Amino acid sequence: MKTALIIRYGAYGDGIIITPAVKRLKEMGYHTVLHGSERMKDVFENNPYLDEFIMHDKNMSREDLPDHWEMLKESLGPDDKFINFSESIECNVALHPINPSYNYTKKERFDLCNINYYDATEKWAGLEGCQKLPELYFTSLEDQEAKKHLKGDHINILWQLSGSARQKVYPWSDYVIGELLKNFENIHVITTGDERCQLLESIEDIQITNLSGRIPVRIAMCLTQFVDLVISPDTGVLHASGCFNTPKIGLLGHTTRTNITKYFIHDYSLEAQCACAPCFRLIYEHEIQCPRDFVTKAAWCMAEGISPERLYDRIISIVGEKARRRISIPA
Amino acid sequence: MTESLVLLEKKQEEGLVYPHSCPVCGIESSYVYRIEDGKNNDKSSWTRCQCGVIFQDDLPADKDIYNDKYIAELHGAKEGKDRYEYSVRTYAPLIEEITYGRMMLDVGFASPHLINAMEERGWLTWGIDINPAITGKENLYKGNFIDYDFSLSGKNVKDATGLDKIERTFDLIWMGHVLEHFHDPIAALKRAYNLLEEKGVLFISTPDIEFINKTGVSGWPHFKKSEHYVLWSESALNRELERLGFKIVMSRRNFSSRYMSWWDIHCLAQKNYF
Repeated sequence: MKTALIIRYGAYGDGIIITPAVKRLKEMGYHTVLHGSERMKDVFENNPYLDEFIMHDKNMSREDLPDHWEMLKESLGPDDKFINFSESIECNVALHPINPSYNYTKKERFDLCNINYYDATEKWAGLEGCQKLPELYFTSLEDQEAKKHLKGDHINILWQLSGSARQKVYPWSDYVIGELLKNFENIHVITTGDERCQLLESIEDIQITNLSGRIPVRIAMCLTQFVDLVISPDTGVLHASGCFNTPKIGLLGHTTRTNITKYFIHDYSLEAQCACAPCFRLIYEHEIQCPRDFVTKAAWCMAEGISPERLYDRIISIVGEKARRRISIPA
Repeated sequence: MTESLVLLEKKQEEGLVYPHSCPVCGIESSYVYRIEDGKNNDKSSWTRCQCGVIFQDDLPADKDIYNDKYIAELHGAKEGKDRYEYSVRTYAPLIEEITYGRMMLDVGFASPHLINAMEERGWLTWGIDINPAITGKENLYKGNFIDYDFSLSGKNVKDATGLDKIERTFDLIWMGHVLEHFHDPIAALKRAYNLLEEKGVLFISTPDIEFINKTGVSGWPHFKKSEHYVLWSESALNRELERLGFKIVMSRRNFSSRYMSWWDIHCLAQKNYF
């Protein structure tokens, strides 16, 4: 049987983006093998289109990777396929600081990079006919576990506080959540993220369930199918929500809707509106690479490019009809 | 009173008594150019100093010059937009190569062409000018660059940081034909240094007095009695920048009219962070 050996390390979102390609390879009759990181294992758990997973040795140095890949490639037969997705998004449609294109003019960067990540992945793999929506598969136990965090008779909003990089933090989350809870009585906000995001969970309220660092990422991704709205920067959780019909608001700073959510159903994403965005740059040290808001120290695109009023209005436009406004008590 | 004393008094009243003290190095000089401005027929006297600058003692009065009429003249400059943009085309790639940040301050803002061109490249822009008639978006400061308070304060700042105010900085300060307008150019350069980020870049274009050797005194267009105060040679400007802690990344003499002005110096200096 012919084999497709796929290489992908990277973050959760990177893994979710390649799910349509893996599915397509399986449909083409390949025995699909993914050589990936721990995060890829999470993404592809229960995925019926992946036959085999080989864990990448995380202690392997970057310098050894090319020889390692060459060795894997040589182990394949003539009818087999070798697809290395390393740098398929990063460096290809997101600009790495070591590449000249990092400093191209904004228009040149736009022309070069305003490409959908799912389209770019399909092209990178040399495939045709890939579906445009990603897929995640959860067990019934995971579904049950995720549902425990929902509040019945409430509008449940999943709010991903940050992603793999600090420039994705939206600094006005507290403010917008506060306004929502102040004005509406049946909104329930579930905050998710890694342990560091607990620092951002500064509001404690009966209408807020703070889950950052307290639940597995798969449960957070699973929740995206059950909630009424997902709000997230460009992270794995936003891509996870793309698997489902759930309304979603991507908070897009350095990227565009074309890049991320072009094919997503019920997409209400907001692109940053400021001179520096979208930069399409890979940001490793936003303190150095990004202009930052003076007060919050967040990346300018997130702090100034997406005003809290704009986000609040977008949320209300989606959930407003179901939201029950609090009755104001005269002073 | 003797005839000679009367004559001296008259010359003092007319400001024609030399030597005069250089505003850059403080040394007295008596090498004088008497200029008649072809545009306004203004007569002015300029002193050449051994430190490499030419200055006039007759300080231009800002309030009489920098007004809506001044802006209208700049806006009406032939091919002004193209010429401003050409500076950006030439120098922005180099600036972007040597600094990561993307916040700039246009000192001597009068026309939006420069900051519009920078915004198109992805820069966040602010402008400052002493002219109260400048108009534009909310990113404009009206005041004197040397002592303007750029800090941020207020309840939001206090709540978020615990501080009464936070100082702000820029990654690029653009001084396009403005240095020659300052009464104290060294103070202006120091201010630029202090307002720049750690790896911040200063761009300066200013008339180049060494071109007088080529054009002759009457052919050099930058003796403007009502606007200019200190005019620089390339070596003097670079020397003062280095004295303040800047590293000269690029310095060139420009005679091309593709830019907003010509017979001038174009200089890129960066805070010396290595």
